[in-house]
Amino acid sequence: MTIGIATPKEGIAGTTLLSARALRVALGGRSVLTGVDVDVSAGEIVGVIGPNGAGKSTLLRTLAGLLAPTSGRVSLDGRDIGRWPPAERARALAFLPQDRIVNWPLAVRAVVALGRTPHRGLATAEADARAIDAALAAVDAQALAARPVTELSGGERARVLMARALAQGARTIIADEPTAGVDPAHTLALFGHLRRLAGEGRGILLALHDLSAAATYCDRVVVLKAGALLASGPPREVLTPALLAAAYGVAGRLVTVEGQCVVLTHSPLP
Amino acid sequence: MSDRADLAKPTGRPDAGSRSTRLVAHPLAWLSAALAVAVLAGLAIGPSAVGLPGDAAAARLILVEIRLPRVILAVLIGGALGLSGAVLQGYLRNPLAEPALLGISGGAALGAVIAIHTGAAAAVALALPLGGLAGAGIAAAALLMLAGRDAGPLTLILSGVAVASLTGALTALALNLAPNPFASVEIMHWLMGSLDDRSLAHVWLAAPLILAGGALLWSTGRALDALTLGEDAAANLGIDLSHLGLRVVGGVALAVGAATAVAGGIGFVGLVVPHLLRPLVGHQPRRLLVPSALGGAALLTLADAGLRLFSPYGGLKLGVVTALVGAPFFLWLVIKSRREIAG
Repeated sequence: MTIGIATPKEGIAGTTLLSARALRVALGGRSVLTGVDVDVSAGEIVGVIGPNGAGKSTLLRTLAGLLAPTSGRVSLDGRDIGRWPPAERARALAFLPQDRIVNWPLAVRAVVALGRTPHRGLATAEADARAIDAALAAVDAQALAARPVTELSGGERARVLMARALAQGARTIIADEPTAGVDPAHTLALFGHLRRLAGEGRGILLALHDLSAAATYCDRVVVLKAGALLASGPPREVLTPALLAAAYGVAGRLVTVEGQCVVLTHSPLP
Repeated sequence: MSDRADLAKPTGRPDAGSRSTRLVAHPLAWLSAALAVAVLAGLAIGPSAVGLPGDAAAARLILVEIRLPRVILAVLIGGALGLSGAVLQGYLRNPLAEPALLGISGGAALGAVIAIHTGAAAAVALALPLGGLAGAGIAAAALLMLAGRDAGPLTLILSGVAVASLTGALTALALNLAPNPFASVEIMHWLMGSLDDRSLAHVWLAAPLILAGGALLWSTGRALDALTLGEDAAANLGIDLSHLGLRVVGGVALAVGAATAVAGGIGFVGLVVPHLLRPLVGHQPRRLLVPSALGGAALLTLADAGLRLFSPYGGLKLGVVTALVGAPFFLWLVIKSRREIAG
């Protein structure tokens, strides 16, 4: 059993953790995803990009087992995601929803502690406290620990909610725009932490709008448009001017500045 | 649960830690003390006088047959209302939620009113509370059928409002078609909510149901905590939301259904108590449950004892008093939240 944020024991890089095949999802009779394949392996960070309404959040919710696909299959560690007992799945897969909901003014530490819910009765209080401290440190929120979460800024709240997902100690981590509203320093720190987690053998899937971040930090990107898979592969190969035009309708290109990938976009195409 | 309760405590800062521990321990301690005082007051105060007559046999009779059932019922019903209110506010993530919202107390009231209307209540001793229980059961079944499988909180609240308005309309119809003026007065008095003349038979009828419902409601604590972060985050944390909905409806049906069947409609306890105590327990839904049960029990027992002191011959009804206290509180809530929005 995985306790806290410690290194998972069977951490062979390359093992497929999460896999979706021929995924179709319809919401309220409207087709949202059509025939999408995605894989997340241990050790890699996969970015899901695409314009607004492309189906990124629906894809992430389906992969997290919160939405049943109309057809197709999602498997986590080789087992159909719908067949996992809820608490066991919660220890294997952490999901950060896009909506930053906190309904009551709980203290920041109490919010992060909720990430330990699925470990109840399995982990010691010390292991829980360690996982919470490590998660708070990962998003640089130790100083906020005693503050009511509702009084934080949007970016601070986003970091705290990401810490909740990290505290879960899961091997597969899915996060919907984890850096939306987060300042550059904390964005860099969070990607650095996610890279370390991937190095420990975790598999990470992120929906992102920051194409430069996706190009710099993701091993692979999956491009969605209108619910269909437009392209997937290493960012330098995928993010071509032709793809940027097809996906977003903008002129743009990927350049390398001081070893970092930057995606420049300008002038919407006619 | 105590070792896990300490999780929210900042480590490495002993002063902050002891403060949060004190915040948790403090309300439980003083609420228990308040409940003990309320129970003693309830046993000591009768319509005739404070204290008991000198004759030992008469004293025993008054204490065991008259005051004890009333105090036990006040503790159980107040506790059921406080706990249900706390659970519903956590489940619906709305501080204005209260036990009557699901329509189950409306169903219980309708069942009891039908028992009065048909004359069954006058013919059979416990027909009135039994009618109330049947009404609560039917209302809960209708609620679950209306909401359907895998109902989320929003669907459940809408279905509850529908059931509540239907039971309210049918109760008004029963009142409208009352066979004689005496029946309508009896119905109206019953609807106001009271613990006058309740016997140990009422206790035996209601206590097991309220305790079972209370246990079910208490078991929702962890899930309610997780639900603080929204339904998707709660589901990701391993909470089975449809199972949670069933536990909430089942718990409220048993606890509030039995409470209403025995005492009639008692408003505002389930709204006011969790709301007052929430800031004292750090706003965490799970930590609000036990204090709300204790607070509801203490408040209703004290209110009932006070009622006997100031209105010894049953003129004032308990439900009227709790509503009279509750309405200004509600007003204060509105003004306070308006200030918060403005500020």
